[in-house]
Amino acid sequence: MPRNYDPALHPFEIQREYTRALNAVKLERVFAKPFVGALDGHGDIVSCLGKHPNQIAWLFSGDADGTVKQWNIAMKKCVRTLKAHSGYVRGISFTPDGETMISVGDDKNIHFWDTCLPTSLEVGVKESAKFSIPTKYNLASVSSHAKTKMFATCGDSCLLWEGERRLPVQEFEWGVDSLNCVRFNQSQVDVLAACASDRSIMLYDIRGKSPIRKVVLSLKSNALCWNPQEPFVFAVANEDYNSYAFDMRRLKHPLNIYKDHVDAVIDLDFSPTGKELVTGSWDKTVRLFEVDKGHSREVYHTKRMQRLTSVMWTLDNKYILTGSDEMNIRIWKAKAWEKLGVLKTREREALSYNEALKDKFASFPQVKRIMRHRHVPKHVYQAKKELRIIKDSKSRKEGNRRAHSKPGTVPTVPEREKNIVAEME
Amino acid sequence: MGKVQRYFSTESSQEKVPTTVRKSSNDSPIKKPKVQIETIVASKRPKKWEKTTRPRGKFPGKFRGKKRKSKKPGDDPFPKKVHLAKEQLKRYSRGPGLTKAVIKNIQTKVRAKKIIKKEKQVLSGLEQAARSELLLSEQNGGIDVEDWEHTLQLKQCDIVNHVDITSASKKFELRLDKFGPYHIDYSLNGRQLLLGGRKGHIAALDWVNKSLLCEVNVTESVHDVKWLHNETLFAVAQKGWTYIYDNQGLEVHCLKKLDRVYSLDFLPYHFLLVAGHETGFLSWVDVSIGKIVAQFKSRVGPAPNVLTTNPANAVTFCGHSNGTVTLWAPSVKDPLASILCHGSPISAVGVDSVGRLMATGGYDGTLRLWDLRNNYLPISTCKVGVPTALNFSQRGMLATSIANQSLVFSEMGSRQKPYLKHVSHSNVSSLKFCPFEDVLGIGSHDGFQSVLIPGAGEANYDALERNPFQSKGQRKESEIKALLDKIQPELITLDNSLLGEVDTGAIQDELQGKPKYVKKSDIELSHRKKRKNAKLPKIKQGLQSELNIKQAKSTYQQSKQQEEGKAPAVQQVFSNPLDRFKTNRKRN
Repeated sequence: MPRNYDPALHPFEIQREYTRALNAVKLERVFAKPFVGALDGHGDIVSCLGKHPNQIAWLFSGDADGTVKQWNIAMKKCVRTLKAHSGYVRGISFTPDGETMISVGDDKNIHFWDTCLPTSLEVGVKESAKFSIPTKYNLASVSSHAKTKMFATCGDSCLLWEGERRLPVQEFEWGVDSLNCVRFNQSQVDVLAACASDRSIMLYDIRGKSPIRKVVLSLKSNALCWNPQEPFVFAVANEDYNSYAFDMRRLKHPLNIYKDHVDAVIDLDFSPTGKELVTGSWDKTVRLFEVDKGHSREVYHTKRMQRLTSVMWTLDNKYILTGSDEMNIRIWKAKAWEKLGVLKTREREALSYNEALKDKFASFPQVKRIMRHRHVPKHVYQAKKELRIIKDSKSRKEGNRRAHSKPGTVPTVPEREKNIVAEME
Repeated sequence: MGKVQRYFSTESSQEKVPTTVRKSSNDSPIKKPKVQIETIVASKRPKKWEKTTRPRGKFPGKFRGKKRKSKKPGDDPFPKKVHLAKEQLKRYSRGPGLTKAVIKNIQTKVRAKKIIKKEKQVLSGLEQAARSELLLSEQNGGIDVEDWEHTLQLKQCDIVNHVDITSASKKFELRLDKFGPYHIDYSLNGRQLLLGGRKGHIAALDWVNKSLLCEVNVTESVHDVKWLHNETLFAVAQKGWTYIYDNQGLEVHCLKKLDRVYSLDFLPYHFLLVAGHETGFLSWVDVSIGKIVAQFKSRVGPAPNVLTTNPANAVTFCGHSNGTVTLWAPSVKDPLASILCHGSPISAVGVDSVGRLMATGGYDGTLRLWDLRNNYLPISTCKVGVPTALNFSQRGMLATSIANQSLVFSEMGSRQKPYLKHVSHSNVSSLKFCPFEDVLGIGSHDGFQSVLIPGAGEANYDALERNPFQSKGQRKESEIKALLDKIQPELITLDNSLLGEVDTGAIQDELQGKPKYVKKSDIELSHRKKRKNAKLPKIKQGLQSELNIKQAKSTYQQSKQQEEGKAPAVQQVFSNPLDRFKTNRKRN
């Protein structure tokens, strides 16, 4: 095909590109069908999800009556069911080689399981753990060291275990309250963070004897997650409907605050690229955030999905897994409008051209309006409205107070720091 | 040019073969010409891949004998980039780009980096576009004459004698003396021709291979004909209503809302059919959905039967009997601009393909050229007789018809000069350049003539935009693509680049805290003051006396100043607006 790029032969460049951008953004909304499928099979609330370090397709999930299930995500099939604990399964973690799965539960046991499927198992025989440690501690969460055999659990205090030793190697204590989530940093391997129910987030170094520092927020944090690409950064899911990103060196000033949920945020996970964040909330929605933005770029919900208990971003950066109250695990696309499967060259080129156009015209009002529009359930919509009224009224009141008092007595606190109570070393 | 030539073997080495219009080459022996004429046709430029001068089996690097760092067989023989002239780049430039001062003002480093990166991408894109000129396979046509000659002396027969057979076959005539005068139109890719005789004769043909698509007689008067977005549909303004026919001559639609239409035009990127009614109305019809987009009365004199559109920004130009040309967009009820062009009724208007120039002809016998870019000032005026039709070619030539003559100007602007002349048997009614061909179509009272104007059309078409050789499949695909890219009529503005600019006004309003919208409750409603007729004469009287006092005061002051010896204030002279067309001598 002969081409001639002379601008005189291509009139209305901007207008045509704008029209194409509008079409592209409309098509994006048309094709935005994020729900891929559900993993059905648990007999109780799904309490936790475990991400296998080596196998993309493997998923382990624990539920409230002590069952751990192993799934093949690609086939959407349950491949193994383990009766692991009596009562809640509280946490699932993997050793760095990926061969062993560690599960902890309300029955105060730590179980070690082989992640590979047993080669031959007689029908009706209950599979038992490779190794078990009965303890006297409450166990609320577990996390493995990225390099060694060590792992940490939390409950009344943060405990450090090593391999199959029956007693904890170390115990970290600071304050009396219980901890509900503990996570090892996967790059700065000796650092470990935990959320406590006294509203604080603590940092530990396993090379030292005592915790390093902690920060107290105005409400309790439910979950914690380290950024896989930026070792200093972690994010917490908070009861005050927000999530916070922290730099572990400067806990006083959060890096970012992620707003949009209208109820407590229960769990969160970073994407493997470290650029995005998924949060699951008590308000029955899943939201996706870009780490440097304050509001969500996407919200996922279905009529049947109840309160979220756990969320997970798969290692291929393509899917999101969510476990919820009504015993289901759901698979979502991370990019709602993405076409699955093999793309032809022309198709791929057209899609990337459309992406470029959307980026170029993103700030045009029409394009922006269509791009931003999301339908949310009625209760979320109403709650959002209500929250806006509350926020407006608060800021009005603060403004009034500032206007009628001596200058400087009512300081302006940045939105990010409003909920930070104290930082302690 | 020096470095560019490295790519090409020298011209002398290649025998100059005048090829046909982008088709198979005919080895027609040509007479040793006194004049050298190249229609679009002649691809003088040897192709890059033709290595005629190089001996086979040797690497070009060795053959050149220049020192190169490595002489391995796989190496690029021309490692350096070919020099690009600044003018070449400028042709593709979309604007001045970012200045250093702007970059300095960007607040954060990260943002600045991003912007600079994007700017680099844009620049490299422009450069690549400019470089791709090397790949253009055709060269634009032209006529070279001896010093003592002028191209105006050349007749069509001279030109035909000096071009190849295929090009010569593009000069032809259709004697249709029963149904004239004829309105003509070429399809957007220049391949099809549409003839509409005043007395009801409509014919569509593929004029290149002279095959008739359809021929009908509508048994009522035909005022104008127009191809729509491709060669499958055309619109005809008939006595009562406007009809749309397909290329088999079947009536597809009857647009009753377009009644008594005198002139039609089509905006292919907007899918808008523009019609000027006898009643002075202007209407825009979206032919993709069959809806009237806008219809309003021009309110300037009677019928705007002189109507054309600016192909660069889709604004409609209407010439009126009071000497003005008004500019219209479907989103605005009033004219965007009104230009007083002649002291007499306007006879024809033409706008060039890049929206830079407008040519107007008046019944005062003058042809004027206007600059459309800045301030609508006249560039030149010449007395030629009453132009009945004006048309710009793709490469900026202007054709005008005066009675039975068609005159073509090659360079427009201050250096405007007549290029070729053609005399028909009868008066010319319509005249159009064929896109992508060196051909001018002339519709007259006794038929149609196609004449050769070397250098009129663009030689290198872009197949993804308009393709004269498109297959049926390509036509279908391009139709769908065009429909998807249809520009909304609201986007028609005088300044085409408006959409790509930052809306600084809105930002300023936002910074100043102005509300975007005013709530209905905030609008203060007040009663319209009723006019009290009894008081009106009194008010008038009062105003008059006030004016009188003012004038008296000012004359008193002036006389006083003069007495004191100061220079008198310069009085403004209100002259007739038409005075500016008088020569200076007269004004004095």
